[in-house]
Amino acid sequence: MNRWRLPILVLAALILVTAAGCVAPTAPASEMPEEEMMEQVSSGGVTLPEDAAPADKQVFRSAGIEGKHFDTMRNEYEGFAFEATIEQLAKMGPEGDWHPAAADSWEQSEDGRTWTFHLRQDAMWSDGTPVTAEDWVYSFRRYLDPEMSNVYAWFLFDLENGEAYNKGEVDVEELGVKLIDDYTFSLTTKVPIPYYMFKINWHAAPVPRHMVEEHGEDWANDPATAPSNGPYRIAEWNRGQNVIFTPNPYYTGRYPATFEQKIQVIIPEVAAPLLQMYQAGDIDGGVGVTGDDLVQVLADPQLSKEAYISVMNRGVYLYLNQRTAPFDDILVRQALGHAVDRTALCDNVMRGTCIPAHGFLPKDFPCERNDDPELIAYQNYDPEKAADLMAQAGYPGGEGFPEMVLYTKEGEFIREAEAIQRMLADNLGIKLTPQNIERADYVARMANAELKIALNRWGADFIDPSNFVDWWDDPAASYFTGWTDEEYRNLIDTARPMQMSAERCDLYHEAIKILSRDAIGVFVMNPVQAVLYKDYVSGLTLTDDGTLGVYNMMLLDSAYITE
Amino acid sequence: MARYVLGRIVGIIGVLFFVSIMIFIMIHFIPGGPFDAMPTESEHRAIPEHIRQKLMEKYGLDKPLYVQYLRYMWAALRGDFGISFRYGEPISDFVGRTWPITAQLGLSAMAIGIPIGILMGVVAALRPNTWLDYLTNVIVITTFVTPVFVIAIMSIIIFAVQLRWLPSGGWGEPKQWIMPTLVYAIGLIGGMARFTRASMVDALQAEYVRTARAKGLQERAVVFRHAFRAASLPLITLLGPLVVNLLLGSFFIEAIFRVPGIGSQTTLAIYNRDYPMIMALILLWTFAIAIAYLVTDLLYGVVDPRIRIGGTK
Repeated sequence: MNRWRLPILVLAALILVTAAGCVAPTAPASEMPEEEMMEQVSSGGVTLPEDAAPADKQVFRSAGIEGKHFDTMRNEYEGFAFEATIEQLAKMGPEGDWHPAAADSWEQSEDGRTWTFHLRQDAMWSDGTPVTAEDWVYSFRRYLDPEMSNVYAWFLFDLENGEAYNKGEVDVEELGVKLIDDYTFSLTTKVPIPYYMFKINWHAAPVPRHMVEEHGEDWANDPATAPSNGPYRIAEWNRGQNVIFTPNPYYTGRYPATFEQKIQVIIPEVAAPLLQMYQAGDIDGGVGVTGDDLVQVLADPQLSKEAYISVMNRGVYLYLNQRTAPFDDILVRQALGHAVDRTALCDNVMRGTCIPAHGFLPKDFPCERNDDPELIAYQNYDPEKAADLMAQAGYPGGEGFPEMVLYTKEGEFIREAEAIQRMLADNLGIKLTPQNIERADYVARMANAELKIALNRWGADFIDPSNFVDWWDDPAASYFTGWTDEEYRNLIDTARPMQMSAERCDLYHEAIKILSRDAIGVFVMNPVQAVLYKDYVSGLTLTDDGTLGVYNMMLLDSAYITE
Repeated sequence: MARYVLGRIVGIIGVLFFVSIMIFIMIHFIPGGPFDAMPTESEHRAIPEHIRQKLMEKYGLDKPLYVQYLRYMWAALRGDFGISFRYGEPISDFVGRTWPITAQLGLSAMAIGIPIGILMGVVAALRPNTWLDYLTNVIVITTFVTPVFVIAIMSIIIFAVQLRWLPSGGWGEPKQWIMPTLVYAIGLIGGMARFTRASMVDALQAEYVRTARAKGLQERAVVFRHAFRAASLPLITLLGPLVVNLLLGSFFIEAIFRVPGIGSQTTLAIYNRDYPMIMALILLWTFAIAIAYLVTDLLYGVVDPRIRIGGTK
């Protein structure tokens, strides 16, 4: 009878031992010998402030998905924090101003079309080869080279002959990229583009010509053949695990390395518990949280102190396919615009993780005038007016209105979609069924005009209103709704080449008002985001009011780890 | 026997061809191709048509489907499974790098989970309605009703965030292996214990067990030589595909614990419309499962003398 007692005891003991094995001893509080008050200089040559931790602790870890390679110009959105591996011509500071980086200076021609860049003359690749204007010219030409089939090529189509060259219609000599001397080159655009600095500095990175010519496309697969021109170089790429950046020994520029290592921890594209990784101390910062995670962060005494809150440069709206009924009818669209209670959505359903929107430009974006009562009136919450419009359109109380699926992409905004369908059911008597579909399916079907209605989002590629308005009436755009309008096209075509001014903003605001007035989209909200940085990450370059800034490329330039 | 095995292998090759054709057709017919949308964050931009055309040409996707298929198979038969659209890495390198990690994780989980699960199941069957049986039931039910990703996240919150004993994930040093292995093993313990208990209870009630006891055999001999041996037949049926599953990994365990294995990749490959990767991984799965069933069938004959493989006269 007691025969089993022994094995059970052994088993129990085993489980206990295994469990105890998990209890790794917590690391002893560092008992490094007190350093004398000697000033600490990083390998990059920066004298760190007194409260800096010793050199072996100067490591900054962030998370990101795995990139395909280190060819930043073909890898724009696909991982591998390129601000660590390359130095752009100039950097946007926290206040949106430009600071010289790889270029000492630049000037714009009288007609506003040509930008001439004067490069820093002592710049070197991390293998000791000089960086010259030839590298830059080579890189811009390669970006548009038809043979490269670069999926991002459209980003520089506004260079003179950019699109034609990419299509193989003209020679490279015709392209608006010119070498002037060893350290000077110029870029010429088709029309004046006032925000061009942003576009090229976000997207342009020099490639090491000597490596590309020697190794072909493979140069970017191996840290040994992918030197950097920035403060850090790529030391290791452990596929599936991390990329390790260390100071570039040949860097002589304005933003020398403060950290001894920057590590990008590789996370899978879905399901990685980023917030928990951060809380567990496996990453040090750069974690953006939205939605429920944001609610949790704000409620947590420690996390809320480490959170930098901002409204995201994203607009969430109801995509309405206007090619066919019922959304070809402006009355129906306007009814939807008045039937969504955005305040209830953001305050109650989403618990403060978004702000209501009635127009398409996110809060604080250039030219944003979301407080304009006229703009708000076009899509304010007014259930009576909404029901009235619906009746005028021939669907009183939703009678005869087709049942439809309200699509969302990959779970993003599914809860918002549930709330919105409820509001539309209550206020208009129409029946929508929210359904979540995966990304590739969603994008393909929307581009083929197969979706009727979806809760969609747009995120800024660069900081200019043109990025939010240019594509609405462009049939080649993925989110084209079938709507075109001459007045709208005139407004945005007039505004685009103008220097940034109140006048330019007036035009953009008019365009934004048309989108709201005719309910081309039903604008719902802008998500709020918190970006977390551990309190031991000091020296962040912030705006005067202590926020991260819109597209702050200098955030970590002087950052260091404190004890 | 040899003839039987040979016949089965020929069958497996047939299955592989059939599956390869089916998958090839299916991946090309699901909406959305690899170059229809921009990657990740910039998906709201359409890839200009002339660039898309070039890319389709570059990867041979502009050819008729049967040409693409024949090309693929011709290369695959020579060991070239193409280059991943998503990672830009040859598929064979990718599998060679990721599979050993998944296999290590699966084997460790098995080494812990299967013996403990079987032991618990046997004990629970021998002592029904005792605290041991109840404990087994609690573990079984808990692991059965709690999805693995909940257990995974909970354990990260407890052991990595709150207690700080273990890293939240990653792969490289042994302490990063502990959580994924144990979370994986817990699920196994539950499953194995439940199944073993059920088969053991059946076997213990069988007439040959009564006969064995009547013969005056020792209880130990009755349990192990007679009851457990009979009860292990359904276990073997279960173990075949289970082992394959473990060797090919779990999406949630690998994604949540950031294990750079192959387990999360089938799903991601479909998500990314990474055609060469989808083909290679599903063929790998098919092959592994087919082999597992073959081995299972052969094992039946070893364990149960009543089963003869290949038919005897």
